[in-house]
Amino acid sequence: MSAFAGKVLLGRTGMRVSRLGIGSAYGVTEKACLKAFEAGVNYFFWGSVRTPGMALAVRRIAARRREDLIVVLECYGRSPRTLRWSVERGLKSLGIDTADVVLLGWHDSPPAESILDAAASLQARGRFRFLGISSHRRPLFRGFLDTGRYDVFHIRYNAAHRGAETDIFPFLPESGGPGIAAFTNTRWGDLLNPKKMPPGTRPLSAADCYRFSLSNEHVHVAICGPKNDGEMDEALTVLRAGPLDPDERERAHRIGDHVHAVRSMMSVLT
Amino acid sequence: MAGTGRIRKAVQRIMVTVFSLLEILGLPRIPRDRTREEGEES
Repeated sequence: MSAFAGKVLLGRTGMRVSRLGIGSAYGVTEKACLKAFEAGVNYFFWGSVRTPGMALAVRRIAARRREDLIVVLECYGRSPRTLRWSVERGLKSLGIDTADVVLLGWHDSPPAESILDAAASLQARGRFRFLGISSHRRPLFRGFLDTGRYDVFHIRYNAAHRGAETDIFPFLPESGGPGIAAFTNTRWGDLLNPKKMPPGTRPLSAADCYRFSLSNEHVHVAICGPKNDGEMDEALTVLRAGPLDPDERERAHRIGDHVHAVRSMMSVLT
Repeated sequence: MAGTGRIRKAVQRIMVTVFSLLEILGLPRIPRDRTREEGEES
């Protein structure tokens, strides 16, 4: 069995997660989600945009094999009311009673206590099992860790943005820490773009990018964001692969450094 | 780079607001009964 074919513990949640996860934001189709599930992918991240393809797939899978699926519901609500609304509406749309993870989306400052209280209330009522948080500001995660409130972190990590290796990963406990999901693995596609490569260098493939993230021992799951079935198929090749070898890693660093030096619109704005 | 920081913060607020509105409005729409219809057919 290849290194990334099996499942690993998603930190202190105790759930077993596939190394590849799927994000819905770019419009993954129902068919692609179902194919990925059959291939062993069980981390379904419904956010930042809650597109229909994944919702339909979750409904279909949950009807028969709910326990085999990890449903992550991202919520951008910044008040208790909008958070509650977001969670309830999301669950209804997915046709499930409980999400495995509610992810507080894109908090570049610590969430207000009122939000955390509302989340705790929803959790106590069984609307979700574990609380997660995402942010583009890496230094905040140490504070998030200290609160002990979060079970899952969604972290920007890729060959160009390797700051988590110094800002976050060294501070994670050896055991009992949060599950770590890496997003923006392709750096919004920049690492795949021939025009953004160093002269004479072939770009990374999407699979290379996911393998880069998963080669770090702290990353449990790398989230792909396929736009179509072809991109899903390419991402699924990760399940038949393993960590980057030293030469591949050196190449990824070289490309990542070059891409990082040329700031993209998204990297400036997020 | 205080200017960049302010722009970044403003963009983040706008995008969070947009995503939150999409969640509250239930957009994009999801077909409600397609799974059941297909399940009945199969």
